[in-house]
Amino acid sequence: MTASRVRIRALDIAIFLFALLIIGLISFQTYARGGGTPEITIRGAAQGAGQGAEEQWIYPLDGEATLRVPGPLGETVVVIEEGTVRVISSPCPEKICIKTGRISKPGQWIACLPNRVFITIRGKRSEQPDAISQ
Amino acid sequence: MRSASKPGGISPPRIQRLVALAAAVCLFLASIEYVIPKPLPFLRIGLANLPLLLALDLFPVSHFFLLLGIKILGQSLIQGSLFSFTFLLSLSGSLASGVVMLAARRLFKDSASLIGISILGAMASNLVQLTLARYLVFGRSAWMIAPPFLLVGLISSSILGYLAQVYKQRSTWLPKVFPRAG
Repeated sequence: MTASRVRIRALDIAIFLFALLIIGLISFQTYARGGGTPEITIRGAAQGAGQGAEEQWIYPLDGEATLRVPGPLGETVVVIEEGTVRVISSPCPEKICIKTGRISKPGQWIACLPNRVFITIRGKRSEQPDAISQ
Repeated sequence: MRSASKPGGISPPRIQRLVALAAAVCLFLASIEYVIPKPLPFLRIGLANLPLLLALDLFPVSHFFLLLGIKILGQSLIQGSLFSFTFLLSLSGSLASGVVMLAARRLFKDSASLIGISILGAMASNLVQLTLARYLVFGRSAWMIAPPFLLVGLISSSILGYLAQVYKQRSTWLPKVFPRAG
């Protein structure tokens, strides 16, 4: 018992490495995701599920697609083309989502509140400034 | 159930006094940690966990959690975070680390030293806190601070585990109080 040195066991090292591995995985997940092509996240009401349930779809911004997103009022049609996203038709009364027009940069969004559809672009922000005043 | 199966057959009043002593040491260390300047509020050393690491082997489970509870309450009193969301984070983090450390100690017995146990506890606490912070407060960006946060936790918990192990092996006081626990 006396004057014993601390023996680091094999299991200690295994635990240390395991922790390091977890940290590595999390770092990769958080930092590597920012690069590459931005993603479009579309949230809409889940079909057949109860009130308030929602579903999420993710598309790459550089693809081409026409999507019919279900909502409580009907289908909102979203078009992805040439690096932009827009809503071309929606059953909502005010059509604000259609009037928003095309979005193409990370952080921009289109929302159709009546039909509970929400579209955002996620990804690394471009190096350009948001705006320049001259 | 309490003292009958425990090392040395320490009487309940005596073990309560020892819990109080350990808790006092926890709070003392928490105050010391509070005084040490930190570059970021979430980078913590976790000094107050030293008595907990030692308590794993010394106290019955019920008293271990009693000590853990006192430490959580006392630490947030010292930091002035008792009625903020920080308290919720600290509460859940400490509980998670307590459960994980206890389970790991029972599972691994002597094949891992307190270093490994300390790392597991820190990881459990930090991951739970990050997950809560992500859902309750900061949203997805909470994970942006995860890597440095976890890395600091890994290093500080390794050192802390080492200190606890050294103390456990060299203390002349412990074998006197807990005759068969060494």
